[in-house]
Amino acid sequence: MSGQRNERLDEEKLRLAIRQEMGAQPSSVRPGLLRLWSSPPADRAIQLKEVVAIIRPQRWSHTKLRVQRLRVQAFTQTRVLGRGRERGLRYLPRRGAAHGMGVRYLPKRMISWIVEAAQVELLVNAIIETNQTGQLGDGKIFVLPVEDAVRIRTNEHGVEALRTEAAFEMVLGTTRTSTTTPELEHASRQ
Amino acid sequence: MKLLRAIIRPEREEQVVEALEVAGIVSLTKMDVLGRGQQRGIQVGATVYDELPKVQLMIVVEDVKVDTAVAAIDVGAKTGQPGDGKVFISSVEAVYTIRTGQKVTETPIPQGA
Repeated sequence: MSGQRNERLDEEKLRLAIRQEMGAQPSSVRPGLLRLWSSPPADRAIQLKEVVAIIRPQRWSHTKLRVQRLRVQAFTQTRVLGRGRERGLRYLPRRGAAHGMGVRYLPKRMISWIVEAAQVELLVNAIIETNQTGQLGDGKIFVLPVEDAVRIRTNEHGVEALRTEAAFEMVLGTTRTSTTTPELEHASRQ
Repeated sequence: MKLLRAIIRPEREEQVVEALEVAGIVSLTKMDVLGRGQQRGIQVGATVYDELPKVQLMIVVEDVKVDTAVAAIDVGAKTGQPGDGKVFISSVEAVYTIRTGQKVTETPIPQGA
């Protein structure tokens, strides 16, 4: 417990120092400031994962609705350009031409979800289910480890930063009694 | 598998992609980003540009290919001036191909090689 208190103290100290620096001239930032930062304790290495999916842009709205059913509401999405092993699109070369015309990069949608480790499998299955056409270019899913997450408003760390509080849920119009989703409970019973 | 995020000069993008292709890495995702580095952008006369346009390439490669990929990016992107960019490498736990729904497994390193 004392370790936790020390660490909180350090965070306070760090915040104070940064605030002071921000009031000062912008050119006076000292690199020593960062030494105040303490590394997160081991118990914060709760299993958080980032699931990054690169999918066809037109499938995104379906995917969003499907993933919402898993009660994974939060996401970040970007329009990106990309290509896979096929190097974009290529049409067959016309007679006499050395190369066919082609498209080097295809528009894709990249979405990132941060979830608890227990939800990864369900999420991945949901993404595959909604995006599989069997044609080349369906996209990829990457699962990455996440060390920590912080909710800026309340300074909650780890899984707490992802969980939606009861008050906020009332705004959303959804009620939830347990933190596990119905589908999760179903999966664990099997 | 490792995820490489390379933040490079927009004008060098073609060269980097070409270098990666030569190294046998063709799959990538690119996006336009704005950013600055340790120099806090550039100053031209009295004007400071602190959000410089950059291109971010996202490449996922097998562990054994990381060095090759970094070398290829280096070859394509290096000018020697500040602002050439950075490459960040993070680990990827699982990769799925949506078309097949299968997990992509890394090709094992041949024994005794």
